[in-house]
Amino acid sequence: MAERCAVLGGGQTHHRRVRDDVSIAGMLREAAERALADADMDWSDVDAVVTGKAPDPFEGIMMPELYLTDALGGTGKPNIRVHTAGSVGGSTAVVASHLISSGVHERVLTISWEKQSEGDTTWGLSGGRSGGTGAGGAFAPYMLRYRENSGAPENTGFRVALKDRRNALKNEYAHLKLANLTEEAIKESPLLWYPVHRLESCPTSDGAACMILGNEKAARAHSKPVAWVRGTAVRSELGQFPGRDPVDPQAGRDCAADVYRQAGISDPRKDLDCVECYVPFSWYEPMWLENLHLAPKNEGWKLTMEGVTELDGDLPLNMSGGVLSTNPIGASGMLRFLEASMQVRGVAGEHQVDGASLALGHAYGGNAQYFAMWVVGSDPD
Amino acid sequence: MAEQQAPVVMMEEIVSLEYTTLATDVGIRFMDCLIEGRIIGHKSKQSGLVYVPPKGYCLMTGSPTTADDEVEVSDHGVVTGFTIIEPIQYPGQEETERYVQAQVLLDGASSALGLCRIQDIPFEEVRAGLRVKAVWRPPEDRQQTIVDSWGGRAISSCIQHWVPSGEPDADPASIAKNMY
Repeated sequence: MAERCAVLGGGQTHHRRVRDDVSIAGMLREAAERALADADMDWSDVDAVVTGKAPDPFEGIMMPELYLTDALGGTGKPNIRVHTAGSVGGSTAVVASHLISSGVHERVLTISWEKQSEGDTTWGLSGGRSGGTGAGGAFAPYMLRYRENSGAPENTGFRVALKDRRNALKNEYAHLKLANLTEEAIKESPLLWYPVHRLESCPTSDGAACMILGNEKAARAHSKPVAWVRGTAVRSELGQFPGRDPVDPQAGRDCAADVYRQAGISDPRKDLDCVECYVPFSWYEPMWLENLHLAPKNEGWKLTMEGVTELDGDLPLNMSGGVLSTNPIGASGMLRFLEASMQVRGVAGEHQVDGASLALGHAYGGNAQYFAMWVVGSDPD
Repeated sequence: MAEQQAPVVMMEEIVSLEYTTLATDVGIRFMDCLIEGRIIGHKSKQSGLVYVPPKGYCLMTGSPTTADDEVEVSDHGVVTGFTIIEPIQYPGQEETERYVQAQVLLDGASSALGLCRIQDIPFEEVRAGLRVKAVWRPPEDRQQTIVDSWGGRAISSCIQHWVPSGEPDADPASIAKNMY
C-alpha cells in the first residue's frame, strides 16, 4: 500500500508587479522559509527538492533550478525540475507527493515561481517574433465559443472578475487589490482579446509558492493541523487534433474523474467544500465548473450567476482571489494547490471557508491541454 | 546642483539568440507547394483524416503518411473560431492596430489552421461559420519560413490574409467538432 502524504506547511511571497527588492533566489527563500517555519522544520530536515516554473524564456535564464540549488538548500540532495507550461505549479506538487507516497522520501520541499518583471512573457511565448498575442489571444476563441454554445449572459464574466477581485482584498499576499469595483467598471475596461476585457484578465506578477510535504509519520509528529493528500492526477492531450474540443477538453474531464475516484468522491458538487481553480480569464470559471463535473454542460454560468461560487456560497471557488488577482505563472498552479491545503487546515484567515474539510486544487496550461489536480482533506481518509 | 538620482535597480537589455532548426521533408514539400500557390496535406489511409500541414503521420492512429498520401486542399474555408486582438507591445512586435485572428477549416482538411488574419469585413460581422478565401502574396514576395505544427507562420509567409468569399455561411453543426 502506498504511503500517506500530507502538507505539513506552506508559504508564499507577497506577490507584486515587480519584486525589485529581492533576487530570484531571495524571492524563493522568502516563500520557502515561511513554509519551513509553518512546518516547524529547518532546511536540514528536507530530503529532496522539487521545483517547477513556466518556460525558461520568460526570464531568459535556462535551467535556473541548477544555480538555485544552494539557495534552496538542495546541495547534495535530489533536485527535480518539472515542466508542464502553466499547469506546472500543480504538477510539481504532484511529483513531490509521489516521492512521499512511493516511500522514497519522508519530507520533500516543493517550490515554484515566476519573476515576470525580469523578462517579457509575451516575447517568450512568441519566440521573439512579431504577432504574439499572449495566452489571452489563444484562449479567447474558446471563451467566445463557450459563450455562444451556452447562451450565458455577457455579465457572467464580469461577475467572476468582481468576485475574485473582492476575495483578493481578504488575502494579504494577493497582488491586485482593486477595491470598490463594479460590473460597469469591468465592462468599461479595454477589450484586449474579444470578448475579454482587461479587468477580466490576470496580471503579470512576481512571486513564489512553497509547500513541505511529509509522510504519515512526519504528519502525526507535527503539532499543527495538516492537509492529507487524498488524490493526485495529471492528464494531457495534444493542443490540436481533428475533433478536439478545446472548450471542454477530454484530458481535463478524465483528470477530474481520476482524482475524485482516488478521493472516494462520487458527487463532487456535494462532497467538495470549496475549489481553488486556475482561472486566468473570467470565462474560465464556468468552463472549468463544467469540465470538473461540478455543473452540467453549458450550465456552469448558472452557478456563477446564482452566487454559488461566492466566498459565502454553497461551493466557494477561488477564495484566494485566484489567478485573476495573482499570476506569477509558474507558481500560479501551486498557489491553487496551496490554497486548497490552507482551507482544509483551517489556516486561510479572512478567506477561510468555515469548516472546509475537503478541497480541490486545479491547474491547467499550454493550449488548455495540460491538467494537474489534487484533492486534500482534513482527515486522512 | 543635480538632484539626487534614485538608485538603479533594473536595466533593460535586449538579448538575441540565433539558432538553426532542421526542416523535415514534409515541411519543405509543404512550403515549396505554398510558394507555387498550392496548399497540400496528407490523407491518412487508416483514418481518412487530412492533415494540413502534413505531419508525416496520423495524429489519431500513429500510422505513418508519405508522399503517396499527398492531397491538395482548397484555399477556401470556413472560420471555426476567432478573436479580435489588441496587440501587446514587446521587443520585436510589429503589430500596432487591432485585427481579427481566426482558425480556418479549409475545404478538404480535417482540422483548422491557426493564426489566420481576416480582413475586408467589419469586426462586428466576423463570426464562426463565415466562408473565407485566401489572398495570396505576389509570387516574388513568398518566402521560405519555419513550418510550425499549426502551419500558421508558413501559411502567412505566402498568404497575406483571408477575406469573405461571398459564399453562404456554413451550417454550425458542420464545424461543431472541427474548431481544431
